Amino acid sequence: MKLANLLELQNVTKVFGGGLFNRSNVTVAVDHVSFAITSDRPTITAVAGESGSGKTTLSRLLLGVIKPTTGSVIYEDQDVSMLSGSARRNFRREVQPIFQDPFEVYNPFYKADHLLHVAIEKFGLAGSRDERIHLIREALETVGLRPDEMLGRYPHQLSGGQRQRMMVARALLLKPRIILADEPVSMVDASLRATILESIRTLNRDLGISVVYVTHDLTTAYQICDDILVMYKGSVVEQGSVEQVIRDPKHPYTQLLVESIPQMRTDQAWEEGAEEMMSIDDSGETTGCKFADRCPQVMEKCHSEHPPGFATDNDRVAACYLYDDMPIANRATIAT
Amino acid sequence: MATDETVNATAYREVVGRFELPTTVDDLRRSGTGDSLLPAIEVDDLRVYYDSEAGVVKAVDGVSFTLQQGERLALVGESGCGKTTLGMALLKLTKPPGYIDGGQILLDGRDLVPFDEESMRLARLAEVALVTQSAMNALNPVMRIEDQIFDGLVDHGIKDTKENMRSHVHDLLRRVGLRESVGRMYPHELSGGMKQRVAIATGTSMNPKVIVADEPTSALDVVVQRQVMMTLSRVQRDTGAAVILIGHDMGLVAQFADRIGVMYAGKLVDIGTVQQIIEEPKHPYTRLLINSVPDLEEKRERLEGIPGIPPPLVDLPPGCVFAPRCPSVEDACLEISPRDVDIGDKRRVMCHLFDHEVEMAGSEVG
Repeated sequence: MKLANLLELQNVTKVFGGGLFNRSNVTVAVDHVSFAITSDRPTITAVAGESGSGKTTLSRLLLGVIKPTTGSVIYEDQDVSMLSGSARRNFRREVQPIFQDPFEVYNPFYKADHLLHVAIEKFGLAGSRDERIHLIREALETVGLRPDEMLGRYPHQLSGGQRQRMMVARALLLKPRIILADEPVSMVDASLRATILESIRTLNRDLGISVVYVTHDLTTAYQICDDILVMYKGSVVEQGSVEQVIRDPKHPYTQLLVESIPQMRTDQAWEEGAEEMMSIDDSGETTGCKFADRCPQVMEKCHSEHPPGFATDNDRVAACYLYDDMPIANRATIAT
Repeated sequence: MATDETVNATAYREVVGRFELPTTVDDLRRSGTGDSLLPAIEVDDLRVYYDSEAGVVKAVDGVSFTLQQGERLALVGESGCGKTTLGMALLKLTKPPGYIDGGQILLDGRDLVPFDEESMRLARLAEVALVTQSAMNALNPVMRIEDQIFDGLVDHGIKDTKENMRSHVHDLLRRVGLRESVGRMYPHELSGGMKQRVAIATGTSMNPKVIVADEPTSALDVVVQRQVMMTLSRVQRDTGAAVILIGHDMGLVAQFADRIGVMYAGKLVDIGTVQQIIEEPKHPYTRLLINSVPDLEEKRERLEGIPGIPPPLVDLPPGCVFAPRCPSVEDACLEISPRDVDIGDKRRVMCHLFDHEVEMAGSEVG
């Protein structure tokens, strides 16, 4: 049975650099990645990885702001790079971004709510001024802001948390079906982090909006997400439900990541010895598994052949030869 | 500056002369922690203010704590709580319009506050070192790593043969888990984690008594973060230095420190061992802070942050600075500033709930 997918990546690769005469200096930012967001129910999917893992490139591909080198991004059975006219406009409204830096998105010369007015104007959401104000107030209240404290203020008069929640409100105004949040809380304080993540979760639970949460923080991913994709140097190394992937990671890289999370506990201290010398050669140019050089369980095969995804459990895939007794998963059928 | 007399460089050399300033690599190898009877650093009623158009900003307002040798203290709090200002003040790196308004910073029994800039320059690196947030920016891009480390040593009066110097640098690099060949490299050849380790190697090149580490891993990924923290941990143990870790990641702090100091609006409101702070937080702010940290234990129905935002540090109202956001607030909190109350077990809390002398309905004393 094939589930209907809202947004889907089909075997997408994105290569930067290079060119006609310089084949050597290329960066494969996203390497044959497939995954889908179902339209059956609203989900929250985490895309997790270190810096340089390709997670931001992946989110820009999903937004349609860059085109894949090979493969395609499909939104409601249509290729995003082929969209034109009203279909493209529709896509732009229904897939909304929330960016990392709540300082850079505002123009300091305009009042902060200018951003909300523009969104309404561009998409013609309100017929009258009163209606526009009403929409704005409603959106601000949904994300837990008091409109009277927000309206008419300049960006510098708002705190980082307020600015970021206003961005959530902006996304919300457009009644999107998907919100793509790229590290939305990495620039705010821990105490505010919880508040903003809670408002994102509200959008998902109460308004039925699917969320793609791009992050390097597995703890918050575990708290708010249903599913997770773990990326390493452009490839998805493991994907599945957060319960499975974070509580019981299969891929050695995911295991290393989870082990490295500093937990606020006094009974579980980090053990020494995990401190191996890091490889300086970071080119990632290998025909085999990209993690092979750092992998504690590396086998000969890992250096020569790129591992396919093995279905280690129901709905969980790990791209690692440790699980080669399991069937190879067809990733396109795994809707997250 | 609120002090009457300053200590100049000559005087500094005289004072420090008792401990014999190291002049060769051999001296350095023997040096290390100072008089073992004294605490590594003792901060008493330290105040760091900034002049601004709106008035005096009290970024650090009467902070006191004592750090024993080899102890690790973490300072935590929301951004703007004054933790970085405090860290910089310990090295007297406060820049105008900021200034140290008063208080004492006793390093191995000597007060740093009256030191003039030249003596302070000699004391930095040799006695109190800094590892900053972005080591990437601290390294000179056109100098080899070992030359940068030599620079600091030579500047602080180490005169020795090139071989001895180089072997010292090799020791330092090995101690932070880097290969000797890294010494001949340039910063751009290193990854972020390696650069941060170089910063630790440089910071500890003269065996300082105190290392101030200001969010040393906030620019790094979790895997590398752990490696760097383990490195710092090992170097700390090898040199016996005391460490002040400034950060906001409660998980990281719990893994690294012995004690935690919680700062709010320029004040040290709660200080105790890691266990005390995490398992039995006392100050209402500490409780909320601990509670807002998500974990991997169980999925929470609701993620809760701390309501409200920290107050501007100009013209603070009377009473407790946390009162407007405090869930246990009572009348007394809005009128009387809470005292720093010693509640036993070397634990101090700045809250009326733990003060015998203030009548509070929800009081947790007596």
